[in-house]
Amino acid sequence: MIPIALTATLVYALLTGAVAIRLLTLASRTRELPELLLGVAYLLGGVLGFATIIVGTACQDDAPLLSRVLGGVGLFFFSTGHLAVALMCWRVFAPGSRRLAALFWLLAAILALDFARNIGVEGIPFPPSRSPWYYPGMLARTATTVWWVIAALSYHARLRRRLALGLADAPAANRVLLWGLAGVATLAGSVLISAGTIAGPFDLPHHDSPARDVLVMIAVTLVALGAVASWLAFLPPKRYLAWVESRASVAPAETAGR
Amino acid sequence: MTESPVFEWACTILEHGAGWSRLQARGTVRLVVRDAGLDPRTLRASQLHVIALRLLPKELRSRGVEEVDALCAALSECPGTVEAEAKARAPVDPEEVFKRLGRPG
Repeated sequence: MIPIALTATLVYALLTGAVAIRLLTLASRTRELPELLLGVAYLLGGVLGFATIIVGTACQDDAPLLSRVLGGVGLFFFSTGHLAVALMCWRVFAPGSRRLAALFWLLAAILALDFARNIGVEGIPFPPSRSPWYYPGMLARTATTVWWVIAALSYHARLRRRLALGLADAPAANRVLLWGLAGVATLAGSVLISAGTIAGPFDLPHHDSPARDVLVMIAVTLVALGAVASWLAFLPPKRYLAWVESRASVAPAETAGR
Repeated sequence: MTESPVFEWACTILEHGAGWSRLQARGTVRLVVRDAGLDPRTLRASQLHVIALRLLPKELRSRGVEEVDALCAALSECPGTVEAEAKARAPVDPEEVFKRLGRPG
């Protein structure tokens, strides 16, 4: 089980790191906000945040102090990455929406409070689930991922209708879908971890909770699948792009023939 | 955020051509634009061209409009000045962002 989790973590880190570098390189050239935000999200929320938290959790029993420091650093990266995704969803998909602007600033305030309170006051990045302070940060981060999934998949549904009329770019539509699927995998992994924490396994010491390894393996595999989707979206191999375009050239012809 | 100048132009043409009220014309165009997966706030002339020739004729016939073909042909030819205004005012479509995000290099 541990080799599977380690392999999935390695796949996740390599693919997410490559995507982050690709997007940040693009941002340095274009000076545009969306690629910068996504690059930051993948680098901080993905590679650095997720990896730091995984390593911190793994050394919880052997080096509790190091585990807490890594948890604090990881929490900062993780929450910043989540906020970058939320900002991207607001500014790209609905820049004129006052309701979504309010939602973004509310999430930012909750995550800032979560970090300041948990790290600054108690020195605990992730309070146990019996503490009420476990929930604001967890719910705010989950909300940003839900926002990501809804924004991407609802926009993809519109792009599918445009594609049928030849009014959309097939690779771009596929990219939105893959990014949304990456969000679904990330959401499933984070909900699993949160459920495991609330149900008990992640709040218990390693040796008292055999279910913990299973949950970690499943969660890491899910986010690794999400990383594969992100890699196909933002660093697509030429053969994959050619396949997407060939499918699109068949689809409108079929629609027109109906 | 307000609707695109192309959307406003199409509504005016339909209002006069079909003898409809402004509300009826706007509702119909909005419905067809949404059915095509487009946004009335970012509608462009090239998109209206496709909608006018492929989706609107059926909608207008089902509502008993006469001379549908001539009206749709008129709607498919949005003036360049209106398109230029739409181009200048329209927010960036997310599709354009995602095109750029996968561009090689």
